Amino acid sequence: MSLFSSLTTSARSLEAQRMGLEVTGENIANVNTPGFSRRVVDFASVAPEAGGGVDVESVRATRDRLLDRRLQQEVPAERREAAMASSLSVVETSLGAAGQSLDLGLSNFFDSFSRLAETPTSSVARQEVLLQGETLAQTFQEMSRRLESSQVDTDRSIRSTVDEVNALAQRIATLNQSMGGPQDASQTHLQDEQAGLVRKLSELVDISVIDREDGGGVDVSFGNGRSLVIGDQARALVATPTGPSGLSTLSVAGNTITSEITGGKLGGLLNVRDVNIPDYMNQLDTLAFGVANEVNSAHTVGYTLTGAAAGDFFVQPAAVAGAARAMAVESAIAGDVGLIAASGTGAAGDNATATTITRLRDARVLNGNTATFSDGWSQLVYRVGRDTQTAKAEQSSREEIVRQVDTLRDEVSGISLDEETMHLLKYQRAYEANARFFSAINSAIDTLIQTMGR
Amino acid sequence: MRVTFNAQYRDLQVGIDRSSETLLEMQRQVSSGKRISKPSDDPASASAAVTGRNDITRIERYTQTADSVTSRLTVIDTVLSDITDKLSQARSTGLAASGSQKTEVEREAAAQTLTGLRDAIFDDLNTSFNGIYVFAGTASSTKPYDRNPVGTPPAINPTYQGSSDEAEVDVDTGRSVKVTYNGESLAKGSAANDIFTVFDNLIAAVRGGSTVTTPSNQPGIEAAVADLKTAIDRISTSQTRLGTQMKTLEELKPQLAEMKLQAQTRLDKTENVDMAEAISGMTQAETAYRAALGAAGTTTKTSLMDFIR
Repeated sequence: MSLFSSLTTSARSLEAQRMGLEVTGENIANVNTPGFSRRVVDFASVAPEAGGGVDVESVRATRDRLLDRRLQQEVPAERREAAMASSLSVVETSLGAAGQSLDLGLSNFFDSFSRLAETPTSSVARQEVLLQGETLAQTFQEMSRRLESSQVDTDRSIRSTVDEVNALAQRIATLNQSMGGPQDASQTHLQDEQAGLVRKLSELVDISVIDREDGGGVDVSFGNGRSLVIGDQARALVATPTGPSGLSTLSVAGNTITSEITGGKLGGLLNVRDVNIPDYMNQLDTLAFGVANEVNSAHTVGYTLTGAAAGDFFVQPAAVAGAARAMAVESAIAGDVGLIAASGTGAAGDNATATTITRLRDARVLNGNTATFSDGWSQLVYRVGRDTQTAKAEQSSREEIVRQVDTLRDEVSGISLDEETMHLLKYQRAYEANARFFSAINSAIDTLIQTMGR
Repeated sequence: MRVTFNAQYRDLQVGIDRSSETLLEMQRQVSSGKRISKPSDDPASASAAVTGRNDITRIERYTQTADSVTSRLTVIDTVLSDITDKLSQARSTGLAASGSQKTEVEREAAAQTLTGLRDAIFDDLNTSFNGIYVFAGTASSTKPYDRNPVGTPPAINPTYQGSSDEAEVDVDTGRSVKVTYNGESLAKGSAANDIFTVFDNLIAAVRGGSTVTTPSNQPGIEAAVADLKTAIDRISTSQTRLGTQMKTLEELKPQLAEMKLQAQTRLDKTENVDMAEAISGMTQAETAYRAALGAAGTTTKTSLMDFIR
């Protein structure tokens, strides 16, 4: 090997070590960049025939596909519970403060009938019954309205989540277009970016991701194998308001897939909208229907203050569905409290009907005659509380799993500043040593020229 | 294992988040005194609390009813005592007016006294409490007796306009108390004549007037006095029954109070925090929070950077 080729060798080595420094710099710079994978420089010695020394073979991103896949499975489950927990917490507040809500309304209502039983002819007691009846009806209406508006709010979140899904799918498709070239630094960068987008998408909806065989990024599908991204094409997820409720139905390429989405934020929101809230509404309606129906049955066999046969107390609901929303005191009674039935015989001072209605308070008339009205309310409170609590507990345990997988992933792809500092030292020293070699060769050449040239 | 910058910070952050969340929750419990602020804190307890509060309000209602019923029964009791007194008085007046030694004036005076007693009893039976005629049965807004004067001097000749049904009020689950009385069963019962007719007969007998069928007024007075005795017995029996009910009510009230206390205690246990426990929990949470903050402070201080010079 000639002295001059040694110069070339050391120049190449200097270049290689400088590259190491650069990559270390990039790693340090991106220590806080989400989704960034640690870059590693692979050196390879150059054969003496080719000039010797060292060259940078590749700069590669350290990434563990398996852990990435694992995250794509765990993240949707965690996000689903998170979305449910936060939506249900809002629903929970609509139940009102403990002891100040529907249970108070029910107590006061039956108490007013108990007072009426004490003084069946008192117009004050009758006014009180009317007032408490109206308050109870309003409480039912209000609670039903609050549940409905929670449902509508959830639907609004579903629509905005659908927009996010579409935006992400579009960006992933666009990246697919730019990928697939030779594996260079820009490809690594695109892969990082795409991995970040896929992660974000998996937070919104449970997806399965397949690497494209041509190396051009990933294909994404969701639901029952519905494609969302194929190559550079993203298919739009469409939310269409449907039916009298105006709640959105989700479809992709004309197929309704609302019930296929179970994971991610979208899955959680859909579950709250289509399973949890309707369940609560049904319980509330059952309770309202029970109250109106039982009170009416007792009321209509009674007699008014003037001894005439009494009518309904509450407007008789046609069906369980919508009973809470439609709850109201009969307008005739609101106009004349004398029409409230206290008497069971027609005599003004009789209180048999008022007593019968008072006793409804502890009568087991709900759920196939197994539960009182208070039980009905307590079951609703329990159901909402339990659903919220379960979602929160699920979320925190899932969060822990995600965190652990994230830590494992970081072990491979993450950046340790101490390590990078060591690399910094390593490359710096190697650069210095190579530079020393360069100057040694240089001075050797110098010596040669000086002595020979004399 | 490679310890990376982000993993390290993520762990620290989770530690701080968790311990500060616990601390916040413990502080909330201590400051509010409530273990449950929303159903999801403890669904089973929140649901049990609903039942507990329902128990309490029911007991409170029964207590209020018992109080108002007691005051009504006290009035009825007083009226019944008054009627019995007046009947005894009438009986002795009647007896005193019998005998041949009595002068016309004395007998007229006795007749006047008896008329006064009769009218007083008439008013007694028309007693109303808070707008309710307590002796009208379930027809409590109708005056039970009305004057229907016939003859001279007028007999009041009232007819009972109330109902023979009596209203009861629940004072506990499955226990009820009669709150309106059938006036007729008191004034007449199963006897042939009601009190007022007995009085009119007695007054006529005392005066020796024409309404007495027997020629001598002595048997008339005796018959009327015997009828008065029957009336006294009848009313006393009712009063004894009333007394028993009042006694039951008086016994019921402390029972209700005890039941309420127990229900309240149960509810407190369900809903409220044990302060000592909550405060020690808060202190623990605070220590954990400090530790998490401290850990964050120390781990991030050391770096290889510090040793390269």
